[in-house]
Amino acid sequence: MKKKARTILLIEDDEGHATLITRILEEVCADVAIQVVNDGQEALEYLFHSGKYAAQEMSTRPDLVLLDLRLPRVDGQDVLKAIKQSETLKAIPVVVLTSSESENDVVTAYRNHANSYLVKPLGFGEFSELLRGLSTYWLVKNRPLGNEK
Amino acid sequence: MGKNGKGVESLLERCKLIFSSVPDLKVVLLGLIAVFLIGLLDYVTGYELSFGIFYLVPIVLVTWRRGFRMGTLISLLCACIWLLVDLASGHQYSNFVIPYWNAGVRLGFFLGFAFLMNRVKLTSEALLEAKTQLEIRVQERTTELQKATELLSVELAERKRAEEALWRSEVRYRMLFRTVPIGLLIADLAGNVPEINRAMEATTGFSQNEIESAGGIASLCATPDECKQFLEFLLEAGKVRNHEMRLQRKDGTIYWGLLNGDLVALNGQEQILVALRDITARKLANEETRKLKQQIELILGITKTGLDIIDSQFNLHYVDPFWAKVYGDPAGRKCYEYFMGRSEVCPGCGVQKALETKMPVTSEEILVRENNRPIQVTTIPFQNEKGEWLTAEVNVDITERKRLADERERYLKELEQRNAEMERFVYTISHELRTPLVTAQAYTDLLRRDLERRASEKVAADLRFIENAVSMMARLLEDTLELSRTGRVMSPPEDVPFSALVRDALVQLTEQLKWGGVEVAVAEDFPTVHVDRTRLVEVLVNLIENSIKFMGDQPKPKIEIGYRTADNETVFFVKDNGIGLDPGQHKKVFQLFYKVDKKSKGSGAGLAIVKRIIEVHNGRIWVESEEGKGCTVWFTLPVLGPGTSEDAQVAVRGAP
Repeated sequence: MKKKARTILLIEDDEGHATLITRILEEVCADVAIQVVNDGQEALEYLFHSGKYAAQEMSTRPDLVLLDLRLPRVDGQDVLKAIKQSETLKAIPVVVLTSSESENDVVTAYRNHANSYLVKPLGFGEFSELLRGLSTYWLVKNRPLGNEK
Repeated sequence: MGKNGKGVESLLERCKLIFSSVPDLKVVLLGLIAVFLIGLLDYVTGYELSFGIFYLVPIVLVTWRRGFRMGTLISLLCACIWLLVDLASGHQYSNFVIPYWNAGVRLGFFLGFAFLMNRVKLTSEALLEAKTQLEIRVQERTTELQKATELLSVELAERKRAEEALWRSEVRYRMLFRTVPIGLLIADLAGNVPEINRAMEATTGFSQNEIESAGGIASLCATPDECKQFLEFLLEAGKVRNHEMRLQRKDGTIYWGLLNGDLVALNGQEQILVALRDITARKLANEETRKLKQQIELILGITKTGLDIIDSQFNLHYVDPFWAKVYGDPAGRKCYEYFMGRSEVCPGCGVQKALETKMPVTSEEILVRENNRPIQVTTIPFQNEKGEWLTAEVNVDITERKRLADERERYLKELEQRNAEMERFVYTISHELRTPLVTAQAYTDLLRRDLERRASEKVAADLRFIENAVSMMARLLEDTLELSRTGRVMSPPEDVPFSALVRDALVQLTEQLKWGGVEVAVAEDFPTVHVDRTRLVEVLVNLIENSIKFMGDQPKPKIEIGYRTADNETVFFVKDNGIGLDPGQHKKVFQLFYKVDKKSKGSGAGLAIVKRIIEVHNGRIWVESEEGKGCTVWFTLPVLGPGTSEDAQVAVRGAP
């Protein structure tokens, strides 16, 4: 069964984490295109087609956003807010993937309509497990809004 | 002869008197009837009874009027005359004459009787009249006499009573003098004491004799001088009133006496009457009361406690002396006017509330007329002896309490702030540490797998991530320690010219500045600051380093260090013409581990540490910048005064 490639937008400032997540995702799910941005500002530019992503074709609408919270320039929570307040983007599932276990962050994230909140686990195996489940759920099992063909 | 003449005259007079009056008809008739009856008697009896009667009548009359001797004499005289006549004449004329005589005598009798009767009647009337007069006079005289007697008896009684009263008052005086509970003594001008009463004995312990033998009045006084003074004054003024004086008892104890003295005349002599009352107890009580009052006032003053009593109409009944000194006489004034200078009842008046609820009310007030001194007022309702409801207010100064409460509040707030900061700090650290930990853990696993799969081309990358993560963790820990040291470990602040700090910082950065080709301009006449020198140099190094780091591709990189004074505050600045910072990050840059550039080597703790150092010096720090237009970091420090900038000039010259 041939499926159209899915796009995941990974918003992650830590290079090691970004590399790790990309590697795992490429391993655990087929047909996935991973876009990595390093800070909040860049993420917004990507999503709203501005700055260096001003040209429409430079940024594909993601099927899933993986969002770290502590980001340079524009904070992760603000990026989340911007997505969920946007009529065109708010249907995109946003999964917060962060090292923060702070209750405050969890509450704020859900208040900002995060679809899920995950804490980065310790250990490669655990990380793989988590991302496999995550991608399966959001990209395979979950039925998104709209039916673009 | 004379005597006889007189007798004749009086006889004539009598006759005149008798005949001068007209005989009463009734009397005449009565005489005629008497004569007729005598004649009838002669006729009936046949004897010449009338002869004897008529003959005898003159004799009897004379005898009655002139005595027996004269009657006998007259009778004998008549008999002799007739005998002589008969003898001389030789005739018996007497026999002849006698019947006529008889008739004459009868007529004479008749007439004489009639006139006599008339006379008798007149005389009896006169007598009656005289008697009546006499009686009246007697009556009058008697009345007079009675009156005189009465007056006399009243006078007598009066005198008796007076005598009695005198006697009694003497007794009473004696008794009074002896028993009155006020010590009394009578002394002469020389100071001898002839008399004292019991109370005086009891008070002084001396008997009268003992006083005399001890030297008179002076023996009662504590010192002879005082006694002398008293007596001199008494003699001069004539009296002494309520003189308080120290006295001495027989047993030698000293006591306080209240003396009243008078100069009096007794038994015709000038003497001194002295009244004495022992007022030692009163004096002690007064002294006690005075001390107590003084102590209470002292306590009220020291504790700044005010007391007052206010009625339901807000009239002040009492204000303690401390307040009375501050606010003046409370008489006739209302509490709201007196204390607060208001024209009407204060809002939320405690007096009203206390009187309504009959329960004590506690409130806090600000005494606007005492430099806004805060007090706690406890208003306690009570009923006075007349049953009226009043309130007593106890006003405690709470300046210190208020100050402490404010301070506590401030400390609490600061503590809260610190706690929140600490929480953020701990959270940030744990989060920040977790990030490299995740990396290290995952890549260690990957490395193992890659080694197992013999994917040797990936091993180097895996190891690099692990190394980076570990060194990041090391940096984070180091910076965390550094931050925690800031404020905790401080050198004592010293007075340093700010220019010296700048010079030190520039010396440390000489190499970097040269490498970046950065021009540094330093202001002149920097003020002297009171700071931890090492820390402040650290601040400047950090700020200058940041400026160098974010120069971007500026062809003419320049850093300016200076200060401005505005609103009595000196603000220092480090300004660059680098890439700048968008406003959204102006505050974030000071957050712990916040990194503007993820790829830079630092942990992102630099500005957090800078901020901490400035804050420890009670300063503020902030950023002014626009993206692409350079960045200025401003901060304040405790400033002493302007210093020289010579040292700084040297440093500037050291820079390219």
